[in-house]
Amino acid sequence: MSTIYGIYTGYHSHSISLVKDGQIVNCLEEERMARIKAGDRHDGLPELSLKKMEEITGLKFEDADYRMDVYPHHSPFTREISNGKPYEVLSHQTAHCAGAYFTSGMEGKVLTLSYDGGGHKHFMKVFLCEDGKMTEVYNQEISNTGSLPHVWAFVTSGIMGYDEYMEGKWKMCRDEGKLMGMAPEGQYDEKIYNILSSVIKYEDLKFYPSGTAEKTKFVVDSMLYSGFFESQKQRENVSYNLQKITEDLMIQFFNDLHNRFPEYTKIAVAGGLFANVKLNQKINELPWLDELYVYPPMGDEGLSLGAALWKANQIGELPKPLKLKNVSFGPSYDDDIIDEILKEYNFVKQPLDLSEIANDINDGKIIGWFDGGMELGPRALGNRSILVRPTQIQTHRALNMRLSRYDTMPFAPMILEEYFDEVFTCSKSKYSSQFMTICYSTKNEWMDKIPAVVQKSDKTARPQIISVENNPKIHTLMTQYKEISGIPLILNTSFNTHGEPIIENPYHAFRHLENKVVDKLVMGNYVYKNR
Amino acid sequence: MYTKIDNVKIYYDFNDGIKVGVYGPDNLYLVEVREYPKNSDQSRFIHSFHVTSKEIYGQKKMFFCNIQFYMDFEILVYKFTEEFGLTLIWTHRYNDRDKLVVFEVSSRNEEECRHWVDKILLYSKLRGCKPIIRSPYDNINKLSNEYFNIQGVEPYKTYKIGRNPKSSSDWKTIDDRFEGVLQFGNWKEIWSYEHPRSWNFLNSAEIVDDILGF
Repeated sequence: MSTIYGIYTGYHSHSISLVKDGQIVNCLEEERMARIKAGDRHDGLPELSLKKMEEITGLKFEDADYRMDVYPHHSPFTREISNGKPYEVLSHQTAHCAGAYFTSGMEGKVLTLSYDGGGHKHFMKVFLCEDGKMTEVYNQEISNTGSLPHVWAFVTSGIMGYDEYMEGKWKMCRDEGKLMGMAPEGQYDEKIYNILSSVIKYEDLKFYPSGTAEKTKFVVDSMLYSGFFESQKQRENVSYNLQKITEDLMIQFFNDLHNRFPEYTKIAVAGGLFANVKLNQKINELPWLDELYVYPPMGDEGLSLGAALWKANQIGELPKPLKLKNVSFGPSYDDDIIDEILKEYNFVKQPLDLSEIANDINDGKIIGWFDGGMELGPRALGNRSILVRPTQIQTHRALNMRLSRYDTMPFAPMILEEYFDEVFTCSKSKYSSQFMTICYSTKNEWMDKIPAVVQKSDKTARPQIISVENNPKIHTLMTQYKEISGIPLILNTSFNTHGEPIIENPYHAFRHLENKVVDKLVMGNYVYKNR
Repeated sequence: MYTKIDNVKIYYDFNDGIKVGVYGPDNLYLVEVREYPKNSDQSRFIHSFHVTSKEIYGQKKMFFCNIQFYMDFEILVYKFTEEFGLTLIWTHRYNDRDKLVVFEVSSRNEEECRHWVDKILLYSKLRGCKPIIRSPYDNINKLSNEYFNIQGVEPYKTYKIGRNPKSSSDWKTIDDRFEGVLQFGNWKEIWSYEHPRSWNFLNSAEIVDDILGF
């Protein structure tokens, strides 16, 4: 019975996790504490999250039974907090894969892979997993292979042009989702497809040539000077063709992988590329695939947990993958603490009546929802969420204005588990969809009923399945909303405004209520509103 | 050294790292350095960025990579075309056979100099280059037949044999998270451009072997 701290001290997306007796206790992302989005901060260290973690758990990093770091790491920092005690440093891609496999809940043979912009020698690793054992069978070295995530990073950085400091107006590691969101509005363009294809190719499980980042940067800058990004329509076309290249190459790759390991029909994935929910949809629709699981903190923020779980498995305390009910491993605040903080504000406080909130949502009110532990990973999954009715097309614009955001992609829906098959066409990989990591095609009859959460051009949505087990309170709320409106879905977006990480504590939530970002705030067992 | 491909003039120089300038009608050219590891015909990426001969704010004028030691490298120059995107226009693989190569030997110990020069002469024999030796000891310099061949001749390559200090921009001196990183988040197998290994950990004999790739 052991305590294992995992920490990630690399370039960005720092985090810290604690695993005890083979169970996940806490995970904290530095961006939520520092209040600077991970993609905006390519230095720094997980100092605040470490402090918070030690405060919550009462266990100092140096006092854990095992300490794990992940490459690339900041060795002076880890040495200092280990206070002379030994620690291990795990390979970047192995930590990604361990996170994916050991939270996949999958039994039997599982093929696990990671693919990202690189970390310690590799862009990709592939493991064959069974009975809690991971065996590496394939990898792609940075010096010899290419990286699709690098292509995304540099197109993202250049597509909106550069500022006076030659920094991209959109940021790599932060705005790739916006680029992906534009794709369905664009069209196939052979010229653009060929240009972007010239920087990355694929053959026989290998992406090449190496040096993708510089090649993409060169091509993107040349496209910029040649006027390829001048209008929104042109940018949408670039985005569409980049998404198409990504899907074409990755589907070919997965099919080749399947040919090599045909007995593996369950796949677990991690790494920045799999934040691409449209790509995940294409993978999920492969006919030979039984189940896809996307690690909810698929980016580098999930590395610390991956490393801790890997160690728990190594010492025999995690013999098989965990099945997660949720990823709410962050800090939670009880009513007493909230009351203490409330003294600084002058809000109306009422006991929570879920039917009243369901009515408010039906009336078009924007509800802030703060409940339980903060989620790990890029998605708000009903603990730090904003909830709105999904039935009005104008909601997208109204919500963007309220949150000072410029998202082009539609907002995502939560859906009651029992209605999933009624609304969406594919019924695979529902476990992963509890974490909003895969797009699905919406059935025609639902398109006009829920326009705020469906991409009109390709009919896709990014649903989060809500069940009684994974979030009973939201399930009750949605059931009541369904009774009023006949709609088993609610729009769910992260509780934050433009440029801000998802909120962490009651102060952040109250500030947004005070600033009228939300009309009402549900926090714990009470509802708060402005006087 | 200059070469011309259609209307593009390419300047390259290996005497202080690797320098490449590209002068042509296009806004940007991409210069890339790749290495052929020993006993391999598969090159691996080392470094690249794009350059321009025009006045474009924020863009570099010349490619530079501070590789001072022996490496079997290749330079590739690309341009952008709207038909094919990235288009290769020129390559040059390092080959000092029959070329003048300068070896600057910086040691105040004559015995050490002599040992290093023995290795230099061995390198010259193996590679087939014409060595010009520049050390503090004239009798040692004269061991090469090219002793007098130094006026007005541009060497193909210059090697600095000695305990050269690491540059301040070496990643090792900054932050070990950036191990092997130059820019744009690219990782390289080699950890320092000036020497494959730090001379702090090498004896006198190993220093010359390290720099000349024995």
